[in-house]
Amino acid sequence: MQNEELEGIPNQDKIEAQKPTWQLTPKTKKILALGSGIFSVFIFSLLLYLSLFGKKPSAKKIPIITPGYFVVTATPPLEPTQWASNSAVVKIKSDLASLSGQLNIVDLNEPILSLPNIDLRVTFQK
Amino acid sequence: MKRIFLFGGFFILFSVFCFLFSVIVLADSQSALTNYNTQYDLYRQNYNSYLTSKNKWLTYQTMTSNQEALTNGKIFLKQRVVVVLAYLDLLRNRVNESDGLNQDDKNLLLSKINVEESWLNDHLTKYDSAATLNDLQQLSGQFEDRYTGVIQYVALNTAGEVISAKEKVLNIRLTDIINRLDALIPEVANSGQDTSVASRWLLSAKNKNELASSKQDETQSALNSLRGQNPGTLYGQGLFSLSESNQYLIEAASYLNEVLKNITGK
Repeated sequence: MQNEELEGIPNQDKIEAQKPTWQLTPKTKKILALGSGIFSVFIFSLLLYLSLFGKKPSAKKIPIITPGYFVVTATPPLEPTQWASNSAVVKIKSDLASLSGQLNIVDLNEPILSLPNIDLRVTFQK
Repeated sequence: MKRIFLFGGFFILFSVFCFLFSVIVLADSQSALTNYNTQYDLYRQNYNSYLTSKNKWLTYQTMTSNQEALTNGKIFLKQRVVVVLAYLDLLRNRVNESDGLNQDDKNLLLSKINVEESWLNDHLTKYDSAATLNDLQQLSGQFEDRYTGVIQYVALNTAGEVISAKEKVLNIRLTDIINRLDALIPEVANSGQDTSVASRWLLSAKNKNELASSKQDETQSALNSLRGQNPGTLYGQGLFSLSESNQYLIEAASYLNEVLKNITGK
């Protein structure tokens, strides 16, 4: 609109007349609607694709084991009974200790008692 | 007072005598072992000399090399017999000092050794009259036949019996301890103490003891089968069964320890 065309018009109207007005034609509106629809569909498809085929975080988290504090209950120490000082029991204990020692050191191979390694096939011929 | 001194003096003399006797027995066994080792070393030296002179004879075929082979061959073959005699002597000593063999078993083993020793001593005298290498070879063949047929069996059987007697003694001692604990547990139970755990350990020990006995039976079976092929292999199998028996006895002893811990509380 040219300035000459604003002459003769009241101020308020002049101000309003000076404001730029976006003219949305029906055609423009249609284009905008269509574009935004397509864009929405695109965004939706993208999201759908990502949700179906994208890298998913692992369902289970690998537990990180940290040594925790736990209470160790030790086997309660046995209390000596009246039989601990019994002479027969003491004798058995001593005999068993001696026998255990013998069992651990007994030589059941005795290589010196094996046959001597001697040559039996003696011949003076080729 | 006089009687006390007399008795004391007699007791001291008796103790000294027993000590000296045991030293003499051990000395016999030790000297037999030393002698065997010495003869074996000599055998190895003579074997090298025999091989050298034999190869010379086979290479040069001269009178000199023939005489040298004959001389060294005689020395070597005689030494071979001496080694086996020393070995049998060692076995004899081990039979005599074995605690686990009864007198009848000892007499049987010793009689077998005596027979072979007397054959070997007789065989040893024949080498001096050998005039040719063929004579030596024939005599060597006689020794080989006797050795593989009889001497090997007698020696391995004796060695096996001596070694298994050691295990038998240990088995007897363990069985004695088991029996004593078996008699003790009811007394402990009567005193009001719970013996259920001790009884279970004792039962496990008895089972291990039985397994040990069955392994010793396997050893005996192997020793009885030594006549025939592969006596060395059978002997080795017998000793292996014996080591398994020993392992069972060790386990049984550990179970008996648990019985005692349960009874005594420490």
